[in-house]
Amino acid sequence: MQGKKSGKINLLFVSIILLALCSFSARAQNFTISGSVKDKASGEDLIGAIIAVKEIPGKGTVTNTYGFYSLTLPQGNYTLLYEFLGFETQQVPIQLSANMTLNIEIGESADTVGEVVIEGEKEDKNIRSSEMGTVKIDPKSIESVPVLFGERDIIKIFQMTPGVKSAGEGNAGFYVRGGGSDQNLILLDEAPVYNASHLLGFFSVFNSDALKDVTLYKGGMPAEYGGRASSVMDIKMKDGNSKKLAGSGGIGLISSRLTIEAPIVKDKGSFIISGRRTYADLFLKLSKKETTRQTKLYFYDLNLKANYQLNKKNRLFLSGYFGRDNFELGNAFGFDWGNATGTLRWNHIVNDKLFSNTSFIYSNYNYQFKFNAGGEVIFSSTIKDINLKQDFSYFPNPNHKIKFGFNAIHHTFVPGEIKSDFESFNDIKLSTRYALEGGVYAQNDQSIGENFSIQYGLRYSMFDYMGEGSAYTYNSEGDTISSKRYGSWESIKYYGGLEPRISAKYSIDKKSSVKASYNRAYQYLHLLSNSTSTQPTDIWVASSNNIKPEIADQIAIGYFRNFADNKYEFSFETYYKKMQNLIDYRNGADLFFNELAEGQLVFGNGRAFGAEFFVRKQKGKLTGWISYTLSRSLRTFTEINNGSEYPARQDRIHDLAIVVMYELNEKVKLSANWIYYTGSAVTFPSGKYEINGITVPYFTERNGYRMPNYHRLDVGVTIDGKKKEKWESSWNISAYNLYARKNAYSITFRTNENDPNLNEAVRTALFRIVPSVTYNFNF
Amino acid sequence: MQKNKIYSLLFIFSLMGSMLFLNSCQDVIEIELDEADKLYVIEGSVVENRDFILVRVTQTGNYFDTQPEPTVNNALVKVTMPDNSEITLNSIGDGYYRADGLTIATSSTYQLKVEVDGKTFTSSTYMPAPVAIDSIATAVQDNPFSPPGDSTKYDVFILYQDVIGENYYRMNTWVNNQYLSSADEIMLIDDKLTDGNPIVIPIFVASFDLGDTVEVELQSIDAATFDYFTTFVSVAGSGAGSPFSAAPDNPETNIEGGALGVFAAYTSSKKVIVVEE
Repeated sequence: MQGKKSGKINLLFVSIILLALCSFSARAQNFTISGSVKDKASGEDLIGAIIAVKEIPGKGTVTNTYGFYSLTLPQGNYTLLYEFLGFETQQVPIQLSANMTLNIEIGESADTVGEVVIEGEKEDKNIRSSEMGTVKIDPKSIESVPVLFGERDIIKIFQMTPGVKSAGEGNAGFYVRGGGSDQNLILLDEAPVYNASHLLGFFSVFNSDALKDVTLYKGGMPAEYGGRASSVMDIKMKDGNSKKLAGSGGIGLISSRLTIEAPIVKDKGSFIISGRRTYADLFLKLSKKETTRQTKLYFYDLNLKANYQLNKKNRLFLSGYFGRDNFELGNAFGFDWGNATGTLRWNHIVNDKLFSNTSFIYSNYNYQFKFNAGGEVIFSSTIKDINLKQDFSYFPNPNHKIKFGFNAIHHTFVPGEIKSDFESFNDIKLSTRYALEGGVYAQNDQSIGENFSIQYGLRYSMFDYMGEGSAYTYNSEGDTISSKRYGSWESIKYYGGLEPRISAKYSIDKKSSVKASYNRAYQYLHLLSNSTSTQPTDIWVASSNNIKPEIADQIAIGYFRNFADNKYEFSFETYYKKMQNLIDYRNGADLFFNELAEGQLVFGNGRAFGAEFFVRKQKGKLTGWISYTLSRSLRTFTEINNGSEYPARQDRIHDLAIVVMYELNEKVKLSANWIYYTGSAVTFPSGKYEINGITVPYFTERNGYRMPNYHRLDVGVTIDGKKKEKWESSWNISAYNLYARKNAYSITFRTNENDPNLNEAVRTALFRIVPSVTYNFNF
Repeated sequence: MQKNKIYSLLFIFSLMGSMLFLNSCQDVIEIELDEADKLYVIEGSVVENRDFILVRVTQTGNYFDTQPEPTVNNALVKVTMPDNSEITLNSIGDGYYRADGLTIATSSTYQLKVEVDGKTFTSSTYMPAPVAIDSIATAVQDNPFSPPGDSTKYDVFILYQDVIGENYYRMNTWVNNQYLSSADEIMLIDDKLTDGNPIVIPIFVASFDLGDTVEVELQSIDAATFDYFTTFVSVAGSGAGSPFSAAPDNPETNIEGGALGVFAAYTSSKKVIVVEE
């Protein structure tokens, strides 16, 4: 076993070296320009800014996550173009006769709506890059999109793009290309966030004010990411304004937000603090009843980040996120849960071609609830990660961009613990579980000729489920047949696998390209949930002797074309995804506080396929997009539905979103969304019978019925207030579900209260029209 | 464990969220459902301190039919008693079968065999040792969300001593001689977290008014019966089909041969209290 493991790792390193070697072949008389690209106004690093060479069309590079770039060219005179969407392109003439450092600051276009000064290549990045299956949204660009309760929520915007489906009305959970909502790797400054939603899923934990850049990889996942089978949502927090003190905030119906950012030392370091809190519970304080006054119901988020440039080659970042939901009913009952993450990063420029980042990441998710029944009883559960990550970006020449690195995560799971001062309850702790998860990867983004580029990479991931603790084996009925005790750090079960990732692009002409990708991803952590919606009490469990890693293989092909001078971008992608070792539960599974919960699980396979159409207009007074997805997602489990294939809950065949933003004049922006999708697959009864005098529904198949089709229209208007020198403000007024359609959140069946022989179906609609007003400001 | 309580608190919590934040609404809608093939349904019980055994055989019907489901009166129903004697139950109409003059022993296993239409269904159930309610008590309920001016509500508690080892309980409640008969009013408790302890448990499926006469029955049941009723409540209760519950499925029956229903033996201990200040 040990030999096989290291063999695979060696193979990987051999390929990295081979990659590196082929790039050294053409290095005569070449020099390197390297440096950073920042926003002139705030000093923020610009991620994905393009550095093009006017004299050699098609040659160029892009800044990495930290705004670093490196470009190697033959000796000569060039004009470099620094480009970023919404920013004025900056031209820098250079005489290249030695390696040089160029740190550039570019500013936002004076008039973002009007003509763009220089026609750069930035607008056709969708066509030129070999990336596919990615959606990138700049949190600023969607400020005026109407959302539920006026709470800006980046995840809800992604739900309106192709291949991404919401987990339910108003829900911040999402499904990507037929995968589960626990198969999305959500990274906030590289730290995995285990529960990305507040208040039963209606709000995501991400406060848009603190975010710089969000990218969702639905397929063609780069090799640097691993750990989830379906997608990666990579969220980068702002670094903070390094030029001057600045702030922004908003006052809404549900919550208020405030963000403060300022330099630590001008142009050398900065920090940002961003907070958000809901205040529904403040009204409870007005109550005359003491127990009502003692009731708490709120959530908050706090994002903190600081960075400091130690010297030209070294920079440190410290970022953290703390969020919590708290619900307390007087003394009777309390329930709270939340995430805490912390990331310490060290950027080091090894040389002008090699950039290194080392991250040390801590992540913690826990929940607890307590109730008083003659004594206090507290239940709690925790998952805790310590994560070391090392990434290198290597820019040997303009045709290759190489990334390689590794990471190692130590997971601690405390599935459940009870503390009680009430004599009926015993203090009990379910066995703490430990696991080590690791990954080594290398990838190259390579251009071959003018029209062909390919991004290929390989990731080896491993997972070691370790003691100390007991491992159980179960029979096909889920009953325990044996158990074995393991010592501390002793391996109970080892899993490992190679994850090839490849995507290729061929440019047909300047306006269009075709792309294809294949990727495999392993998932070693699984979310056990007893319900169809996400709940804070859902438990994360490790792959073990009973639970195999989930594996997803996906192939996709796509056609990308821009029209009318890049005013419109169009894409069509189609995919097929095969999923193995998916998890479901036995009927009546008892997952809550069960040492033997693994015996309650059943395993099966799934497949998903679909076609995604996307048209977007990013320039002009009218902007927005149309997204349409035609897809299926199916499951096969021996123990469910008599072993026949059945539709997954997220199997919504048609999914359409139209998002329109219109700038009426300098002060007034109008916006509207229209969403339509096929009802989710659902289990309804096909008969009834009577037990104990109670009517019982009789079920014949899993997810054999459909909820009614869903649609709604949201509208919003943003009105800018008077611009003062140091204060800008705006009002956002919106209405969710404008025509008040009663979209079914659930359909339940019951016996009529007055006539015991009459059964009826009851539709629950959550939101009819929901108006909201938000006041936003920045200074 | 007081799992029901936790789940009902979770449910209240979910409801709270909905009430405070959402203008949700409910209405009855028309839905077309398939007509499934008929299945036999068997419901049998053996009760401590009762000298008869009652079994009912019915069939499934279409969900929206307003007629009661068909009853089956031509089945051959037999029970094997703990002493291995086999008794035959007589059809007494409306799908019921009954045998009288029996001695029901606790800590014993009972076996059921039903033959109908060429099919044979069998089941086995264990009646555990009896667990008695030691006492019953009331207390003023402290509910922060009852509207001001609303009359004070009371909780009723029962106290009993759990026996070391796996135990499963069901509790039934009568208020002023009216049986609380809905699936939501069935209380099911195991002792996973409370093994061997003195137990104080509120009747959390209801709240009571001053002057109410409340009777509580504590039943000791076996694991299979507990599993049946837990899964039964999850599909027959009002929470069924909500996004906060699992995908619904038929309750885990202890009857073999492809019938629905349950054959349950249980002990019975009852106490009555009148709610006073």
